[in-house]
Amino acid sequence: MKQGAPDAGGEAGRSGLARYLTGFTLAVVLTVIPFALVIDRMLAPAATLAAILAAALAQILVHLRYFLHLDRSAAERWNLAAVLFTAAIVTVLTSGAIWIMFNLHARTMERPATAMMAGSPKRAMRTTPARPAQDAAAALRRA
Amino acid sequence: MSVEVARHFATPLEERARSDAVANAAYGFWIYIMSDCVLFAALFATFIVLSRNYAGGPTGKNLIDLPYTFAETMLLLCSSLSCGLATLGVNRHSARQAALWLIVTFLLGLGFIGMEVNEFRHMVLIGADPERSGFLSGFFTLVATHGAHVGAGLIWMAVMLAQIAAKGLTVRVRSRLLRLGMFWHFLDIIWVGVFTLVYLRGAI
Repeated sequence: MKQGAPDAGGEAGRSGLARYLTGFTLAVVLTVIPFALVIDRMLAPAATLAAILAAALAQILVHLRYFLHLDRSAAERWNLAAVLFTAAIVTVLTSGAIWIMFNLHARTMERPATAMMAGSPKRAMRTTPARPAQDAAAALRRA
Repeated sequence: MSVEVARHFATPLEERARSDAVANAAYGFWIYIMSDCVLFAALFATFIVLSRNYAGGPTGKNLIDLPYTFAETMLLLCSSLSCGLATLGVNRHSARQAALWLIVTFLLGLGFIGMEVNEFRHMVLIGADPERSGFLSGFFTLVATHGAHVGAGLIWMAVMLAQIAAKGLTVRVRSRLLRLGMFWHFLDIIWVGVFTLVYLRGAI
């Protein structure tokens, strides 16, 4: 995003090329490692998950730094501010949604059978329509 | 003489105003990209919440072919590099270099989209369509939204190639090419999230 200063080839152009090639090489390495970890199953599942998430985060930073030229210079200050603000929003949105939904899931879907006695209205409603069918089946068997 | 003097004094100001306009447009586009990040965050969160709701249908392990995904990833990553090389061409005022690398970027992006469409087609044919389960609804919504962005980027790229051919690297064309480059690099960043959270996590 260095839009102001179009470097006129030469030294600046070559350093621009070096920058893209460095970013590309790092990105390839950070892609090959997680794919190899998952395909070859070198680690336990939990450790693999942690490793691929770390590799993804590192690769995103590489892309921002080497492809989008985001750094801490004065020229990039407002771009960086927008990125940090978005990162905060994205973190709250994703972690909040996942937390709430998995919590809800744990509370409603995976109750032990004994919980039915505590009388969850949802459970009661779901089992009620099943009862006439069972009664009918029992009646048929009796007949 | 006075005209020359006027031109002498006017040019730097004009240039500064012009480069301010380019910088402002780039910043505005950057804000759009950040809002698109929030959209994708919502889709990622939806996918993760639904990612184990198979409803008795196929799971990630049944559907995901990691070498295929790796090839897709490499196509998109190479297109990101060639897009960067096109930007260097723009900065060097070389329309030929810019157009050449843009064509390479376009073909790599087209290859990516082709592989993705082929994957979706295969999934729908074996009954793993978006209506099969919550997992597949989330999968298609997230991955296809990224694919639609890449498709939009390809159309934009074709338009810019036509503009380079017709107008050359004018200030406006260069300003648009700058934003196209930002958009393309951003799509590769989103793909990093997709291949990690959808494909790799699904295959663990």
